[in-house]
Amino acid sequence: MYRYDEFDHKIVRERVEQFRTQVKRRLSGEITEDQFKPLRLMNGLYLQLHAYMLRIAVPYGTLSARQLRQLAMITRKYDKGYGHFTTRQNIQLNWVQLKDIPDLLNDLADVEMHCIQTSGNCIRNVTSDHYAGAAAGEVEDPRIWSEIIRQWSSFHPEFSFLPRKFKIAVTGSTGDRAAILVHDIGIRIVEQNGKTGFAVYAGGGQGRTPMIAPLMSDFVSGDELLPFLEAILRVYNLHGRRDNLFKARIKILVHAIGADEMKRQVNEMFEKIKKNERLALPKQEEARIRSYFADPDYQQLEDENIDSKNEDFLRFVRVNCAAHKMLGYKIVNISLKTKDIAPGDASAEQMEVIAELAERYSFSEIRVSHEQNLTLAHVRQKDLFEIWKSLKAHNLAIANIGLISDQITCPGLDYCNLANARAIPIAQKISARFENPEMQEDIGAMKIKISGCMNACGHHHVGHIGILGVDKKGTEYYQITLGGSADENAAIGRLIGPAFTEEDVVDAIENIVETYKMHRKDGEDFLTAWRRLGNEVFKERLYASA
Amino acid sequence: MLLHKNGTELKQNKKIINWEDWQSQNEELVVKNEKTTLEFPNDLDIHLIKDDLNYFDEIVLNFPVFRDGRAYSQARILREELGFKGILRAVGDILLDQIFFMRRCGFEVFDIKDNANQEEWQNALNDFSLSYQPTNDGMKTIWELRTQKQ
Amino acid sequence: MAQHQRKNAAEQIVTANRLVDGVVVYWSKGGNWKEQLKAAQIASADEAQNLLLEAQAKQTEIVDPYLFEIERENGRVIPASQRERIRALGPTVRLDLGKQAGAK
Repeated sequence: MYRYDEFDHKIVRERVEQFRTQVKRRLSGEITEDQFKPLRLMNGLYLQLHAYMLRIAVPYGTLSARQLRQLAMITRKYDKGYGHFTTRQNIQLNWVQLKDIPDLLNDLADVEMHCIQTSGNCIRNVTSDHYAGAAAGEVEDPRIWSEIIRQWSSFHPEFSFLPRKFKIAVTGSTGDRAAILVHDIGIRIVEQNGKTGFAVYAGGGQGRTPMIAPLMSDFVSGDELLPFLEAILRVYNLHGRRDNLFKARIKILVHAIGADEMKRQVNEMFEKIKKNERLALPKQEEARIRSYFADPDYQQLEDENIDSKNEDFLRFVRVNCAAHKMLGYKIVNISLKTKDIAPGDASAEQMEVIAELAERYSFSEIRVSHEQNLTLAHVRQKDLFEIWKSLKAHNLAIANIGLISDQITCPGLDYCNLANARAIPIAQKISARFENPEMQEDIGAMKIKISGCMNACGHHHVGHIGILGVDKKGTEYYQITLGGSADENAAIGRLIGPAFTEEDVVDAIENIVETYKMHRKDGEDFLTAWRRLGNEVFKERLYASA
Repeated sequence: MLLHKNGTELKQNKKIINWEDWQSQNEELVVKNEKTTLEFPNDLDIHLIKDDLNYFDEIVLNFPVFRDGRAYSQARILREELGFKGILRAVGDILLDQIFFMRRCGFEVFDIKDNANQEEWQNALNDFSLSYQPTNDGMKTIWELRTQKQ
Repeated sequence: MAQHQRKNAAEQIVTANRLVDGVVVYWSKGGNWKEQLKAAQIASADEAQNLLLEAQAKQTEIVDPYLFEIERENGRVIPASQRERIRALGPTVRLDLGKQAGAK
């Protein structure tokens, strides 16, 4: 993975010192909250329901064992001994204190981490595929370009006061595990006539008005990528709406002027910007960054027959472990979704266990998935049993990856200032109802995504089943959508009918599952069945007695 | 206070023409062969003046609220695409922590509060010694510094 | 921030977050900010705006003060909205955290 050089270190330390001064000026009353707020947001510090919340950047979801250990230490030293992994591959701490932040940022800088641009109207963390560099079928490791974009977007002098936040995601294969089509800019690495380049999409997003990003260019070369991104950002910076916070994302601009007009304006800007040769990444620099994402030192192995009588272990391999591009290896997914914890949370102890396992078995590297789980990307099949035993001892071996209890869930009204309803208890109830592992495997691939408000941080629009918490006259209700998808066939889910109470929503989910099981053909999964059936049969079942 | 990017305070009393006046008066001014200081709105296309740049010794760009960052793009277009060589001034709601970015985008004069602490603002002009992005400000990017070292 | 408040709220309290550590505080009868809801000064519908102004004057140690509605239940004062109940106690999914745990 990428290692900071002296320049990267220095710029982060300068930012930490800058923020230390800003905090001092705020605490002394020299600047008001209005003046301080944009500054603290650009350093990822929010004020939430109970306390400050700090969002730490995990660039394209890649962590070293050393970094994960440091995060564990930081949660103990400054917070309450746990952290929350987010749908943008970042980690959040919920109980930090303003006065401690400068020291905390220094502790992060010690391991090449920071909170820069994890909030505010600027370019946010570039996210990517948590199987990058490990799964077969990749044109190229998307993290190479994620790192290049990260550097280009850090402290960008022109794009730090955009109309709204800006999110970029990169995938390296046709299969999209990074949800690029619901990002402000989505990038897919492609090959054309033997050359590698990028398909670039712009104007996707969720929130109040979910949209799939249209294509801006089907092939941008390596040299042209940064000028092309700069062109999109400049068009957005100049023409994105500034009068209405809820209509300020680039998706609104693209929708308003149309994809063709957006393409035209972007290309016009691009033609001018690319004349600036200095914006093309020097070839040596590209090679240097690329070298950090070379294959690890794989052993030459054969695929093994996982021979065991242990049902739990076999299930873990079957459900949580994905195929690796190298023979004899597997990708191991660690679920942070049990009914007893908030989805995506991990304790300091659990982080340390995972760091240890990564060090011993996976080249010291951990991935954070936008689905709020962790991944050990390069594990020898012969080591699976030992890893599973360690995970099991720390409640990390739940075999539910991609199944119904593996839900994306936002913090919701339990933590978040913006929320209208709680989301975590709903996820926990669903997990409890569907706890039985055989039942889960029988239901099969199922992505439930839950948001506590319209901002859709839980990605409910692109859940196979999406749940949106709303507030009706002071009571929490839950709306259900069906048929959403975040992959290369991205789609926005469709509302099924009136909202359900907290008491009824889990029964509703069960009814949906029963209906699917009744109607499924030839082992089709839920999404495939829904695409064939539509909402009707589900509506009938859910609202029959109404 | 008018702060120059070299940290000094400017004492100036220039007449600033706004966009409406420029459109109605530009023929006169051109005939008089006087260079003007133009204030251009942040919600119009800066390319509208691309053929008139020779008539301006200074262009004033606006930040109506600190969150409104359109003038950063206008400045870069003026400097890098249109080759404007005159003075660029930033006016409006300018936060201390923004002038480093403004300077990088091509601004060299900043219209800040009269009671501003000049030393603090001078320091803020150089908040970062390093940068990743190439602009017209003469600063070498980190990528260029790296390539140099090899 | 999402505020759940009826227009004709009968009784209200002023709340904010403490600047230095983000802890939820309430404008108290003593004319300062206290962590415990029961120490909060309660304003009638007429008094509410004035109470807010009074609290806003003492703003150096807090952030974003605002009014919210309370109800009385068996003599106890409790927030009318789910959101303020959660703010007063802590997350419903971690009963070991927040004010409900007896910790700060």
